[in-house]
Amino acid sequence: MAIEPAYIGAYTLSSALGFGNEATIASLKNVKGGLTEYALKPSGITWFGLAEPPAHVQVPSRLAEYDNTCARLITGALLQDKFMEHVEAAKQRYGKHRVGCFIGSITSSMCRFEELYNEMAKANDTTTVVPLKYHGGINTAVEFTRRFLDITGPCATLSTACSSSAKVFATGYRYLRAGLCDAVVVGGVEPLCESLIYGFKGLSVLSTKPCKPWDVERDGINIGAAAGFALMTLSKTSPGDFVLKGFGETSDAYHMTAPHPQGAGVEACMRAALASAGLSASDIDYINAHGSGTPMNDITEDAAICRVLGERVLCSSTKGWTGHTQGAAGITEAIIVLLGMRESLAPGTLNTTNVDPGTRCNLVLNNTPHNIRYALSNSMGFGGNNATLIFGAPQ
Amino acid sequence: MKPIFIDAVSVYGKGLLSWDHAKEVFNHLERYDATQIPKLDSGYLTPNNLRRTTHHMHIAFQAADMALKGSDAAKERVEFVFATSDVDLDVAESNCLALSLHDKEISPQKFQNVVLNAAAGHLGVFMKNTSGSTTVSAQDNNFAVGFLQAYTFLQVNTGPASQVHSTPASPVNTTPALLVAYDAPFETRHGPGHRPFFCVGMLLTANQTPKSMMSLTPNLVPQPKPTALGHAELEAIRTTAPAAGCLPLLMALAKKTNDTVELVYTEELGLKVSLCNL
Repeated sequence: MAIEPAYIGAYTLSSALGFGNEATIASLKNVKGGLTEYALKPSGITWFGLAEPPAHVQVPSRLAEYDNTCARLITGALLQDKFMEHVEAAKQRYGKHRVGCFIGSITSSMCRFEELYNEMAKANDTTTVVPLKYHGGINTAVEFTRRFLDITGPCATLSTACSSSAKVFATGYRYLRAGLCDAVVVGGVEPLCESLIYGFKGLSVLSTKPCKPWDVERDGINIGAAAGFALMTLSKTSPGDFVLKGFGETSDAYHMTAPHPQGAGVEACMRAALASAGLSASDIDYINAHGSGTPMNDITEDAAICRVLGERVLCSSTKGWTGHTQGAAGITEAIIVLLGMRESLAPGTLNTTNVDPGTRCNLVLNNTPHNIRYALSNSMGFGGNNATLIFGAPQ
Repeated sequence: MKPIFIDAVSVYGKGLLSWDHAKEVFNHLERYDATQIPKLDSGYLTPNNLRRTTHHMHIAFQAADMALKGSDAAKERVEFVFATSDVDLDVAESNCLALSLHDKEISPQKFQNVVLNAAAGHLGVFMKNTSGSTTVSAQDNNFAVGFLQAYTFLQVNTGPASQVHSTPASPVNTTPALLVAYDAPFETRHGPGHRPFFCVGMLLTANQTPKSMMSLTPNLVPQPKPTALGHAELEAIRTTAPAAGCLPLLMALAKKTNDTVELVYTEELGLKVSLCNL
């Protein structure tokens, strides 16, 4: 039984590829990746996908207590692509209390928590109390976003590691279907946060080079910062609306940080998404893989993709362009998929040159002109948490 | 709004040793004794699991295990909806302190345990649960937000999208949802102060089952006016432990009378829940 689709009337992405959709697509078309060298302390390097809003972007004075790197990233992102105008139109149409807000993030404003600890350590300060409501609390990103947009419908932070902002689409869809709201802002936010960089370094999966998903020499991930948002409704708002066609959510039940060795969880997730979309493997024109660039992820995801979708469908990982944007990865890649549909472009797998001979999916190394009617995007996170989204071109 | 059904409840808090004990207390408030501390005796709290996880997670494991034991649901086939007000702030503080030092070394265990879905992730592995798993946060209102998350999962049949174990043709979701809302005090000096520990587990279903205790029908309303408890100590827990926002609902469940309670959902919205005997 296929679900009734939801419609995406507005969307915007800000990442290392630039702020807003046009900057993003220009970087993709000009093959200008967003990763830059990042010095580790006390020594070593990695590569990072920095997303810094333009200098003139400031948190509004009415929300000054939230001002930190996270809030500035959200502000800079929400100002792009007339996204706020679309939200205003939804508020006018339905009432601000009927517009929900669900944001996926792992760290939210933890970056400010880190800064304050660093400052306190340097000053030998043991008395300052960090106001978690504004800085460091996991819920700050959604609270800031809904206040910035002045929407008061149902809201929550979803934090399921790297699948967080893929799962917001499923949650937003359910709230719409349950009649709890008429429009929903779904998003993902992950600013530069040292806990992620040094945490993945501790797990020995942080690459010292630009990441190379599916490459025989791949050796790990690069982290990236990003913020992306989409406005979703059950009724079409314009002929150009994209469609959330289906989704799947499963768990590996295998390991806290390692993927299932045969990719069983992500396989079940893709099958569930296809069934909920009422589509078969032959309907999918493009796959945006989770493709983190770790040896284990890519080999297991490749096997799962081939079992579900065969070896024909064009597939790429875009993490070589943006870095792994963690809690924002789901929506980062969802919007890259939508832009690929809009531009009839299957983005290449940047940095990858020598595809692992142990993999079999139809990996796109270079940007390829390609009409995409339906596309599938995978996200996988700690806890073996999987989410698959299927989007459709405007119908 | 359509109702959902509650098959089992577990509770873990000061003076609330189990659901059976809590029912006694809620029906005879004079018996409440905050000095009674419940035991953590879940089978998932093995020495090996205890080493890999934190107290913040242990109380979630306890509530999840007890709620499942009170139901007929298969532990491998329930949707997880976990709700907590924040990440484990003790772990977050430890990581931040490590980052303020010269070598910036974060232990892999502390890194994996700082994510909000650490409890659900570990427990999913322990239980071999392959269903979907979502962890939500809403600062002080995590129970109400988690409850509504579970409600939408049950009421909106998305086919096989999130319920690989469900019946696709059903108008509702036939996979049960395990809701766990939990909060523990943190020792960090930068945490939210001395918050009492509290945890609740609920096994919720879209269709009535032989185990169903009552039906629950939620409704969002403007201007929250939370139901007060009429007992100073319990009211103090309700207002200081975010997960204990469920206490008015638990009290009504224990009394098993048709009733409507209101919980805080956001600053602007209340969540009214109507309870009905079956």
